[in-house]
Amino acid sequence: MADVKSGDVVVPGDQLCVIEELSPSLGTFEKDGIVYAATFGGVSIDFKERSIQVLSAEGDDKLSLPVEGDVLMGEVTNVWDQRAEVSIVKRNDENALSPFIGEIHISNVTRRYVKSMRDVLKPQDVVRARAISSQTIPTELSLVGQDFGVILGKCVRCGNVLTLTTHNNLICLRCEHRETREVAKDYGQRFGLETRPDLAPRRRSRSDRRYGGRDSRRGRGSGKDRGRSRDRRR
Amino acid sequence: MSPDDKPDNLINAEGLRVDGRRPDELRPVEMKVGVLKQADGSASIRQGNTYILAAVYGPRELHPRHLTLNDRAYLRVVYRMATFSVPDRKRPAPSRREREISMVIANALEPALFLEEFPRAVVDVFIQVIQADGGTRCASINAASLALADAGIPMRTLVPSVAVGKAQGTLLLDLGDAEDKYGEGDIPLATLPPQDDITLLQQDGHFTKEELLEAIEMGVTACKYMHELQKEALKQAYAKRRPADDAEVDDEDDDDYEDDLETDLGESDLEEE
Repeated sequence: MADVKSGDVVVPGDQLCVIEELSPSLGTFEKDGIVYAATFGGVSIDFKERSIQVLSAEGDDKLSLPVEGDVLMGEVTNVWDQRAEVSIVKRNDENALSPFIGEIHISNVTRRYVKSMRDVLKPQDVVRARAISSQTIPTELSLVGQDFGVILGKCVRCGNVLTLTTHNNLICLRCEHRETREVAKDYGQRFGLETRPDLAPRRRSRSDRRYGGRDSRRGRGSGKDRGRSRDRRR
Repeated sequence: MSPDDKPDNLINAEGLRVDGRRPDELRPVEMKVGVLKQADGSASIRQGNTYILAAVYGPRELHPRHLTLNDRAYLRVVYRMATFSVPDRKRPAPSRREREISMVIANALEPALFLEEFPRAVVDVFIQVIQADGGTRCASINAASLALADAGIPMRTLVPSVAVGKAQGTLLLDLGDAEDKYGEGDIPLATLPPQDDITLLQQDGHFTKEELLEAIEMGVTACKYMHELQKEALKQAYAKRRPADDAEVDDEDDDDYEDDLETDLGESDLEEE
């Protein structure tokens, strides 16, 4: 069997096994049919997968780049029609030593249809996202899921923080500007913002739309007109 | 160093050097991994009176963007000497020498790294010479390769490096400052074990062909020893980071043992009843 066993400490260049025994995984490389260690750490052999990897003392690969599944937090720096750029500052709730860039494609925002990235994200928003690519620059991010999305939005008109009213609808309490975002379920909670369902955009009821709407349009006209129209309806 | 410090003989009558070493003897080497908290990877090396810190950041985004390489990471090495690292104050402006040594170190390290795994990224290596006493570029390579390993950058092998010089017609291993200044020549070299591919070979002074070949031979052998020291330093760093886990494991073992004893006692009690 292999030259090493699980738990052995190896350094770069150490011979681990031949390719027929175990396939190379994290922290290893293969050359001429022999698997070598590419990083230093403890050997971990997965007999089920028949793979071998080298992990750091903390039990992961030591690289500073995010891997798939990491929870990342950052600020949206740029938004285009199809994609958005995020400057990431936190990785799994720890400050990243050197900030890096993440990218969100429109297909990874939500499972529903999104017409434009600008409807769901705006620059300066603080987002929580999940990495869907490992050790790439830029990191591909996804906002799909309840835990992921905008956790703090800024009003595009006045820069004040936005308050959540109902699902994905927000309002600026200073200038009463209404906006939409793809929010996480704990929007604003980290920043002490409370949701204000009472400020939800008033959904005009069906009758309003049919009669009230017409009436208000007619309101500009004379009372005589209004009377006549009513008569006609009857 | 003032001219008065020039020793009369770099090799004395017994064949020993100014600091009492044999010609093929290294200075005492001490390497430590993970000395800096903020860096992704770091290492220090003390080789005689030479003391060097190396820090690695990355792989991370490269700024300015125009330097990015689309098929691999860019290896940016910065070798700097502290103003207080030499007897005469070193002027703090980056010098031509520092730029050249940075490039030479980058070239020596690059063949050992899998930079193609991180396209468009940069791996920053900062090397700070705290105290210089000869052989700083070789010590820098040793420390930098340890720091790269500490940062988790995938690499084919560590890169050991050592200098061979000549004084009074004798080849000397791992030159000190006096031997470097007043000797007849200096050949720093770095290798990639286990094949011993040479990634750094420079020469200063005059060597005959035979001397050069012998010097390379000496250097490669010394690099093998240096490689063992590097491995040892990495393994120590790993052991140091694990102690908490090991202690827990030990505790658990002890607990298990005690439990067994107690059950044994319990059983014996029962039997007595």
